[in-house]
Amino acid sequence: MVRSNRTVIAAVLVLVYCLVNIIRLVVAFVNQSDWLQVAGYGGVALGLILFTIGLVSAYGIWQNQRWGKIAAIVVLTLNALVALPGILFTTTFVERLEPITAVLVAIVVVVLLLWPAPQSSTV
Amino acid sequence: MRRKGLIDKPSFLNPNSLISAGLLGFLLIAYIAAVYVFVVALGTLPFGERPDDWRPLDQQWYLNLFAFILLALTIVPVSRWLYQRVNDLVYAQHDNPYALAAAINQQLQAMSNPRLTLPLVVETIATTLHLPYAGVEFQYLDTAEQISFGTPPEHAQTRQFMIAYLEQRLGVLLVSDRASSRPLTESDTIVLKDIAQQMGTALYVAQLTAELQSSRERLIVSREEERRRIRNDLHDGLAPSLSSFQLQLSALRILMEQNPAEAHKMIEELSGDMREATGEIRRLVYDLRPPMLDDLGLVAAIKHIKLPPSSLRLEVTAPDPMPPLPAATEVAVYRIASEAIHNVVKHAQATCCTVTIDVQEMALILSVCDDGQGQAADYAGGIGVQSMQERAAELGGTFAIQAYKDDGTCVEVRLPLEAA
Repeated sequence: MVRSNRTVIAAVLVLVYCLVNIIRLVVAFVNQSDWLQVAGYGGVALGLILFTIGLVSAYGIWQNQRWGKIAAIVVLTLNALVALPGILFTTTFVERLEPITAVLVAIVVVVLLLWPAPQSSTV
Repeated sequence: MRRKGLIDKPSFLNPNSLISAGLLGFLLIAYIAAVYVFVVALGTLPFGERPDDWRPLDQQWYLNLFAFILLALTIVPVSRWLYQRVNDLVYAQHDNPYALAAAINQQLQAMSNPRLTLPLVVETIATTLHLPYAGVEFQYLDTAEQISFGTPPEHAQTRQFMIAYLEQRLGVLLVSDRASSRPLTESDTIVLKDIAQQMGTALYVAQLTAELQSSRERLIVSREEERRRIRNDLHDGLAPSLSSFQLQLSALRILMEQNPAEAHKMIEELSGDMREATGEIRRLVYDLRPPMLDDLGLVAAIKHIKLPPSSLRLEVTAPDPMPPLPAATEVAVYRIASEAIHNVVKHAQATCCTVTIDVQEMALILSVCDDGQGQAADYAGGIGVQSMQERAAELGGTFAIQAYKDDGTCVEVRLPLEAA
């Protein structure tokens, strides 16, 4: 199978981003951090489900599968929508970086996955 | 031949339509929200801390206005881009044309008869690219064929992709849009062009194979016919003559002792019969290979072609000295030139016929041109023309008849020299 550079970058980006977030959620859950009080167990569970789907979609992108690309777009866009209010309602700039990253990652992945194939025919 | 498509159901029940519409709406909502949040955030909280009493909707009115104007200016191009790209992702083979190409290639490689293989290819194209209709129109063994799969949606445009090989048009691949409002995407077009190209190569090879098979069969048939003709000529002409000679010689031996005068008369008759038999043998030999080619050479043999009485002036131009040619090429050139010149005498009402032989490194080009009345536009050619075509094709050459100067006609034959 031949993968374009865009596919590889998108797959790696989704994989890394989802993995980092799963680790963060698990660590927050284990440490019973203050943040857990805000998000609640339901929020953590939803986050885990969302990013696990993200991990699976990274595999789908790697395999050049359409379902993988669609799932990744949905998961990261949903995550960005959830994170958007954080840009306005977090108090410090450092706290604001997390939702900004979520939005930027979503934009980059969506553009990488939707950008048209090269004009030159390669079949 | 028409086959029923798999996508003959309303578009709103099609899962792909639902996925496409849902994804597009979802991305547009996210875009609008992101633009508003970023404008407000960048306008008020670039790097600083947020005051406790800060609310986004209480911010400067011009920020809300700017966000609104920005969205108003960008929403149309962005939604158009997203619409195309999402459709491309959902329907087309976007980044992975290889799966389709591999499937088609596999089918085309096994193609021995396009009438059997192309329906499968068309079906694969339609189902893989989620197209409601795909078809092929092509020429195979001088017959126009049409194969289709599915039905074009109402008001949807049907697009054509030329199937060609080495600039020779062999057919056309027909593909309809997914709906009247959903034209083929850019990547669809790229993939379909490539498929049409692959089909061109495969179709050309299949046609060539079929023609080769047909040519082989014709060759075998003509060889057998030739053998039968020679056998008949020997059996019906020469064999009875020789038997007759034997009987006459026996009679002559007796007659020479009893009646020498009658014997002399019989010898005269026998001599005449033998001349006839010799002429018969010459005719047979001439049919196998014109002896003039060996006696005079190709150019002189053409100059000495026996023509019916007419006022035609025959001019022959050829390299001097004529390079040695393979025997098969020499015979083919002689026979084609002879047939073409006879055609000029019979049909062209010409005053001058020019025969030109041009020997190049890889090919010999023979042209027989006249200044006669030309040929009718719908002239398809008779047995003579067919015979010339076959002689050229047997040696891997080409044959063409075209207009010459204002009125005349020119027969041009190109025979490869290395193949001969």
